[in-house]
Amino acid sequence: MFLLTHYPRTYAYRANLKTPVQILDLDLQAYRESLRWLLNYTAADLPPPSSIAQSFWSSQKQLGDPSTWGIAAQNFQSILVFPFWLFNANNWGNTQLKENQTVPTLPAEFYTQASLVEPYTKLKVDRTMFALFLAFQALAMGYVWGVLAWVWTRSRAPAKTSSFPLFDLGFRAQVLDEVGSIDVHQAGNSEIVKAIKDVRVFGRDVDAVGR
Amino acid sequence: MGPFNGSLVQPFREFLQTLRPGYPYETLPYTYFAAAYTLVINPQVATVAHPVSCPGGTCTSYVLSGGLEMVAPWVPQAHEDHSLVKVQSVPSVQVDFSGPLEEPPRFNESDCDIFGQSGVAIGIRLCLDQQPSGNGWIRAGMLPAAASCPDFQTHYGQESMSVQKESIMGHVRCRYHDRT
Repeated sequence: MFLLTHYPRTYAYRANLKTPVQILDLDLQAYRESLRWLLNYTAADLPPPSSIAQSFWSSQKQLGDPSTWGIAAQNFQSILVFPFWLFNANNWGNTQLKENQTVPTLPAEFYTQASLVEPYTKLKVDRTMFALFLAFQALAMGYVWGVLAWVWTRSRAPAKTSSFPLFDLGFRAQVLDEVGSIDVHQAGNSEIVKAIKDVRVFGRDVDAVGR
Repeated sequence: MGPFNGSLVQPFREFLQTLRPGYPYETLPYTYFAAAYTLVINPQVATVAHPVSCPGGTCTSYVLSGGLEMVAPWVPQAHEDHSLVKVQSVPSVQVDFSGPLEEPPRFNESDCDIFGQSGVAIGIRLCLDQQPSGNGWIRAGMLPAAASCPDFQTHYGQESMSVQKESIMGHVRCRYHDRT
């Protein structure tokens, strides 16, 4: 088990646990005896309102509602855990322990090593999200570079135009499609638009123009 | 923190009595009295964990490492820039809680203790026994005395409490984490 505490050294953090070994030989009589010592307020001459019993006696309504019995349940769990915590070899339930010093009767498993360490922030990356990030980034970058490559390899310089559109159209343009059949003398604007709407005009190759 | 050692209970109680010879009552120091109320939610002592097994509908589990309270010798206070303490291979105890118990709970009278006072309504009945089916579970039940019982009488081993209000019932099981 890995234990850390943070300045002012109050919080505990659990990192790794070994597979636990179930305790099957709990001394139930001693366990009950320890709880009798804790809960018997008359034996300790405690006023009833100052007893642990009072907290449960006054929580009877809360115990009937799942939304409110949480605190009482945690208190009950704490009471049940208390004998385990106090009456083990390494707590003050062991009257042989001494303050700030090890005792020779302490079992061997309690001897270990500790070190003062400096904390650092560590970012933990989710593998699935990182893979998705790489995939989307690759897709976007691939598209951008693909467009650039296409522009560099396939595009042509635009044709040079002059102030004489008839000259440019006659000698510098190349019409790739046939104009639809119309009466070229009588056609109005709408017929002309309809006839040439599918006509594609490109700039003629430089070599072809130069010859 | 190691496993529960029942042989420590009686010497501890006798030691407390030696602190005040002739004191006619049980000595219950506030240190333990107060700690018992919020032990499992004290981050210096316990950490919430995943239950090893969950036979009931609701399960809770705590790993009790004990924190730095029982470290000896104490942590040196120098090196303020190193604010953490790393302890290797800490023995710990994990306690699983499972509930609720079957209704109505069936405890023998010999498994129950009543804590109260004659003429006082404040009282509880605590029942503990081994799970009949075995496998290490302990059944625990806490029944508060009803406020409507002004004549609540308390006797060890006997009870005249006839009305039982809402109670806390559940299973408890312990596991011991050895050194890593």
